[in-house]
Amino acid sequence: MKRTATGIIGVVIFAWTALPVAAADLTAEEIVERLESNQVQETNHATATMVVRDRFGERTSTMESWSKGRDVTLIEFTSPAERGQKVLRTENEIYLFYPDAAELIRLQGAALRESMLGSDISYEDMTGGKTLLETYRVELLGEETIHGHRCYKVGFEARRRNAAYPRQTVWIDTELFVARRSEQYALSGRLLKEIEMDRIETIGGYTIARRMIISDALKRNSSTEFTLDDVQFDIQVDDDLFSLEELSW
Amino acid sequence: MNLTQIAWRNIGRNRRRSVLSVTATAVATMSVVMLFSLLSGIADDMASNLTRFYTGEVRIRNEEFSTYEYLQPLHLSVDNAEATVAAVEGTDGVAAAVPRISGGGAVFQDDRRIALLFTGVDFEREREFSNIDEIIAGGEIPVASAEPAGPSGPSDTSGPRLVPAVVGAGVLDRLGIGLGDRFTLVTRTAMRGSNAMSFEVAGVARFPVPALNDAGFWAPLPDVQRLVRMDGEAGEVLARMDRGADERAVTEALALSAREATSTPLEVKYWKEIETTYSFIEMAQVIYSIMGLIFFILAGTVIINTTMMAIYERKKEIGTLEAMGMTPREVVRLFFTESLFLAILGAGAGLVVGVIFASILSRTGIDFTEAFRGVDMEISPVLYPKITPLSTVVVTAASIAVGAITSLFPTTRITRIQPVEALRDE
Amino acid sequence: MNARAGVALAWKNLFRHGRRTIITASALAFGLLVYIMADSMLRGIEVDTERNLILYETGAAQVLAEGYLEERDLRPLRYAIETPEEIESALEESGIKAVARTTFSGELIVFQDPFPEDGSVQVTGYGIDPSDDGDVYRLEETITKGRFLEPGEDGAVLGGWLAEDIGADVGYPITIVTRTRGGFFQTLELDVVGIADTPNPIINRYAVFVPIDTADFYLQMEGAVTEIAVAGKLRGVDRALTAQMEQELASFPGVDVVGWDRLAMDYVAIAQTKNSGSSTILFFVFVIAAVGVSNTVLMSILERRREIGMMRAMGLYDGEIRRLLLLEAAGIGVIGAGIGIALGAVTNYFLVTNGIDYSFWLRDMDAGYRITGVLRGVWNGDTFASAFAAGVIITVITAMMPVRRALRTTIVESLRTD
Repeated sequence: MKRTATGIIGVVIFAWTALPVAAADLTAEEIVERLESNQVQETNHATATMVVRDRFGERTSTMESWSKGRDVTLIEFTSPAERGQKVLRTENEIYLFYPDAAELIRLQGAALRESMLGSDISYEDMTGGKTLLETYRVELLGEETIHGHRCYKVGFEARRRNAAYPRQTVWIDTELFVARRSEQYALSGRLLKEIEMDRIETIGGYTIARRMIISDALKRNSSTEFTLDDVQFDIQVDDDLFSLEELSW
Repeated sequence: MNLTQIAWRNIGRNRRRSVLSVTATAVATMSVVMLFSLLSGIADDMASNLTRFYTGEVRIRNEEFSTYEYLQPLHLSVDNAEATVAAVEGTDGVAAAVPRISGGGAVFQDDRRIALLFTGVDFEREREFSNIDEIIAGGEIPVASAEPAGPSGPSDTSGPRLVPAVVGAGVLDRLGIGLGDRFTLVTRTAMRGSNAMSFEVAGVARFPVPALNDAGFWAPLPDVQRLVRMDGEAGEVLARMDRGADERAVTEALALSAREATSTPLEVKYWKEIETTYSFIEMAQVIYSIMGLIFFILAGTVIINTTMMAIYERKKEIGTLEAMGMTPREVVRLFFTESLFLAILGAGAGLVVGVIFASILSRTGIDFTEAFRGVDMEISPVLYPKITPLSTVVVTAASIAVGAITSLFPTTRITRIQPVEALRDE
Repeated sequence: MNARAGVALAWKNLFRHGRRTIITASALAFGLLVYIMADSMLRGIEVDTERNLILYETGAAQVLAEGYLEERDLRPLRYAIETPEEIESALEESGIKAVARTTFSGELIVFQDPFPEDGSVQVTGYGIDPSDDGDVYRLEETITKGRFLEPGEDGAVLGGWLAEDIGADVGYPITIVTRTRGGFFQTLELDVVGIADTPNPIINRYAVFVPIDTADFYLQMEGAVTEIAVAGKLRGVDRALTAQMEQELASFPGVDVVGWDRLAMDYVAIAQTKNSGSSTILFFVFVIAAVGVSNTVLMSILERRREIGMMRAMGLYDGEIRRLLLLEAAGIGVIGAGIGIALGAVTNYFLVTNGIDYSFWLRDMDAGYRITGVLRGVWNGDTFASAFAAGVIITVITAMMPVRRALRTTIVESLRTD
């Protein structure tokens, strides 16, 4: 049974831009459409740092990523501990490349629930080609201020039973149409994860959130901090880059 | 004529009684000898499995490891592994020492996620330490290679070589692969990241412990160190002592050496102090001792019976002896001596037969595979009774003691028999 | 001499040589007593293992959706039985007690205050119907703190060791994180209403019980369940039962019937190790009892040579004498065996009702394995019957040879004084 697990996380990790748009009286659907259209670039090339915190302390890793559209992404880790490891994400699958292994590892089904590098991000969070509106019903819940910025509060409810998070709430900046905060809930309504986006900057005509902090709401001292160090948009990215051959030696 | 000679003659004369007493004692002795031998075999087997594959006789670890053990905290490791092992090996009383890294990982096959246990070992040292040659059922033990797996640099496009591994027979069944095939394992590393490595089945092992056989494999330590990012470190260092060494003294000595070799704060434990299933053996020993006791009581009742019968039968003889000048005390001693000889004969015979059976079984073994199906303890399915001082000397001595002492009860009554009455015809 | 006189005489002789009778009889009695007790305990171990499984984990057999058994370890909700009521009715109509359960896995999360510290542990959740779960399982009887579940409540009963591990007490709030049948993340916010100390270590350590309608709601099962368990024999696998079930359920597509043995392969009742050496032990006990009896019988017959001689001199035929002596032997056998099984019954009563409590040993050892350490005996009519029969037979058989020997000597010889 194919499971499309679309999370805000998946979209947010790999698309960080927003174009300023004139604000008008918008419906929830329109807001979300704006959010998404701002996040889809032709191509995207970035370097990032991830800091994972758990009861034993902090761990930092660095990576470089390329994406094309919303369907395909390649991540290569550059920190010493996982140097050369790669993750290729396609619409429904994840392929892992480890330099020390002689073959690719393909994750499907339940295996997608594994967490990436021990962080609060699972591979499942990263897959998915459907748009937000295809997967979720949206509702405008009002406006709130997050860290001094006015945001639309939009509620997301899964249309089908095969999303990981049945309900999410996202606070979308009213001017920049970039997400500043989101919360993921279990079906019971219990908060499971919180994501804060900040360090919003405009670079080369695009407005992006440079930093994202994901916290596990059920476990104290468990969080992942994701920071974009450098990013380029709409540059030439070869399709071959996302092939399996390129992934392995 | 002295008492001993009379006693001997009497034994020969009352053959039936003698045969009965001897048989009873012999059967009891033989049973207990075999029972205790079996128990020793079990205890030995468990001890061997635990010390070879889990704890060694002394286990050295990072002192924080045990607290977080369920989280598999590889980063709580022992630094300077090689130096530590060398230091421990060099300690007086230590026969062998090995470094190991153990952890859990997964193999992804189609839709399945198969959990496996890996152990990085120094194969050369392990041949000596845990006698792994004995458990190899196919293929061979990997020879240490000079270079670790993995490319030597960014420009090396040769690709990683497959790491040779000795894999439990049950694992191969679960993965549906065989000798020469490969599998790739993903695991968390000591840096709390992840890594994966491909292994080739170089050897098949029949681990005596079912859990290891079904889920475990061994690979060269340098490769595992690379896999989990623990260069130069070990998860634990295990040591085995010389036969007959003073456990406490040697443990303390090697703890000292180890602490000098590494800056990691260490926990050094003698294996019997570690919570393991061995404590069951100790409990079983109590149970079997009780059973041995019961056997001896049964045999004892037989002795009492035969002695009473003998006395009864030989009442006239007693009367005659006393009339001839023997004191009742001397008569008692006579009967006691007879019983003692009978006990010795019986125990001796039982010992011989018991030892013969136990020896045969110690070679062929008793197959408990059916009985142990579904039981997940560190006991091998085939058990070999072991002949020990306890199961032989002690049992025999106990036998003789029981045989002799129980005979005292009826014989002391002899003193109460009046010579005149005894001589009277029934 | 006719038969009745013979029996009467034999009986009288027994009492005449009272002491001898007692000695022989008591040797036999003791041996049989030990045999009965050993057998009872060994059976007790076996019985315990199976009971633990059947009464707390698997039931005697289960109905599962096709495909579930192979992936049972993962507790997949997607292989579920959609029409449990119909299946349960079908089974109940043919006299089989059946209950539905939904099993799921999750992570139990607790927070400091009121718990001693934050913690999370993998657990197995069991959605059970409190009103009829007792038809197949014995959980309710093992509640030691708090109370059993009530239908529809957001409450949980924890296994005893699990509760101990996390420091839980009645009234504490717990959270279980799991996935619904479709795959949504879900949390169950429950209050601990009871703690159960069962004889089954797996349950004690990993189990969280919730009402099945609560599980159904949170997991979005929509009436489906993961298994239907049935009650049956507590010993051995009831093939007749599974056959009957298969017949009754032939019209239901997509379900399998499995006996508990196929469900129990990976479960370990650690306390109970099957002992195939048990027959060896029993054999030896028996041999010693036999030896004990035979020697006294022998002695007594041989010692009565003169008496035998006199009987012959008085005109009794050899055959009659033999019959007499063998009757006496049988009489001793009956007395001894009778005492033996009477004593056996008394001690077995204690073994069965109270059992031998060896848990105090284990407490000291502080072993990682914790066992509910009470060894109970088992009533087994066969054992008693065979013990009695064996006792009598042994006595008679061991008497035969010496009787023949004694009768072979001539009258004159036997009258001679030794």
